[in-house]
Amino acid sequence: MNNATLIISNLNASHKREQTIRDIEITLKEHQSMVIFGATGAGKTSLLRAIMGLDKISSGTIQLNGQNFHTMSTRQRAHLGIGYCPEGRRLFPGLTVWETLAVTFNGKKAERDRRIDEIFHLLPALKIKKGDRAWSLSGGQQQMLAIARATINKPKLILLDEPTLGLSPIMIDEIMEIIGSIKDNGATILMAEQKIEPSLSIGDLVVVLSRGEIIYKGLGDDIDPDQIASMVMTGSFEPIHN
Amino acid sequence: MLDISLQIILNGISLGCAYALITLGFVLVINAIGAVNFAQGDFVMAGGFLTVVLAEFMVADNFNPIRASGLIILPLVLISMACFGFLFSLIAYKPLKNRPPVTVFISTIAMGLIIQHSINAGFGPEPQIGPALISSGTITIGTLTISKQQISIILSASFLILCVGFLMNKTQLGRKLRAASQDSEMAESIGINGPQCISITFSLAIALAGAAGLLLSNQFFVTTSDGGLYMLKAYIAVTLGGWGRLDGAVIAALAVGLFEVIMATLVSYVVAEALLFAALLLVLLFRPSGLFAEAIQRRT
Repeated sequence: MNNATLIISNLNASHKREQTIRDIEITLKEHQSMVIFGATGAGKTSLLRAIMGLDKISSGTIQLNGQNFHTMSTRQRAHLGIGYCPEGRRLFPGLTVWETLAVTFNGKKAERDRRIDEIFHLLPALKIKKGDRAWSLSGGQQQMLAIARATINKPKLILLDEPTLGLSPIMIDEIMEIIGSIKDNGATILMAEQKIEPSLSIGDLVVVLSRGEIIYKGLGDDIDPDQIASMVMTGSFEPIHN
Repeated sequence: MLDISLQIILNGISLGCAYALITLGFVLVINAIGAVNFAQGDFVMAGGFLTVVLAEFMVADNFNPIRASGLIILPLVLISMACFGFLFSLIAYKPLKNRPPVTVFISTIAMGLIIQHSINAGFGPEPQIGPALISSGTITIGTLTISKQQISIILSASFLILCVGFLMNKTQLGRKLRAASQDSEMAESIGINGPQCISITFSLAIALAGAAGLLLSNQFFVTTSDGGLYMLKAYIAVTLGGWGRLDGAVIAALAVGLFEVIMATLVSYVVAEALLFAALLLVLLFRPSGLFAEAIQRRT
């Protein structure tokens, strides 16, 4: 059997009856990370939403460790081991930092408290704010909490949708450092991003989307940021010949 | 004079406590589904009638040696009404959940009318009286005479409100209910069963309405047309307390009860009602988000 964590085959999906992604083919092996680039409306968010079961899949299959899950509900996908950090964070505004982590954790109380302590050790900024409601946190703290929420159950696959959106340059570096440390711990990550340079350090693999289709797929080391930027802007891939 | 003032305040607090239970349930449903359950008042009335039936059943010949007391009936009413609430969510909400909120509130109006007319068909329009919570009578402390019924209403309602507060804030189920009510799609994404949370919320809300019906059934009697009035009181309390705020709703419901009793004693019940709606209009005019609204913002 293929040892890939995630295999997406011929995936087509729609949002509010409009087709958003077309014939997507992606293979992401265990412990690998992939960054999806693309202009606004290219289909990055739609792809992650389709994987999470939030957008309707019209055809194609998605497998996680050999198990087809494209017919499962969003809730079942979460229990299968997919952690999702959506665009715009989507925190529960009235829940405190601690409550957000506690409500997400699936397991016994002692185990939960240990895991929350681990997260607070990694993200001390959240520990200081553990009793504060999510809506009162700064943008960076909210993003840290959204990432912590997506990773608290140690998922097999982590989906990160534009985790640096709306953050200051200093905070972008900090968030990328956090994602880098999650990757170094062996997580399998699929991340959609618009900011090319800071994200390339995360992606073993790079995919560029345009109008819902893959226009480039390759190793992160094989491509430079300017080429990606050009593809994102023009919506087409033209190899550079030296 | 002091005795009378204290007695009026106690009357107001006990009525406000019953309103607080109705309003709490009302807010829980608004938060969970984003639509108003217009049958909440009719469930208060249904809880009152259920209390009357259970009380008669319990004192029936040779059935049970325990004389019917509201406190013994209360758990039965809570459980029965919670079951009705679960059924109600399956009938009035679940089939319509993907429709606009207006469809849901029309469906709850229809269900409220069905409940009202069904009970009317069975009992008729005459007022019924439920049992006292512990016993009727008074307690005398110095020169102060306090009604046992009012004290027991205040204590029972406070206990139930504290239980709801504990459930919502200190248990995993409560956190799930709150998460699902704040962002149902995201709640599903972290593995929470959203539809189940909504059914549990309806159960809880309607159990609270039933408890309020029991508490009110002795002092205020119960008639099949009561639902609309309770519904309006809950609506006023929610508006004053700030839409979606559980603590604001409880405080506002207590204030509504107190205001109503004080004004009814000083002037008249009709004037009290009119002034209550005038106060509502003033709040809507000058503080439309409610007196206790929290400035919840999403930072980016």
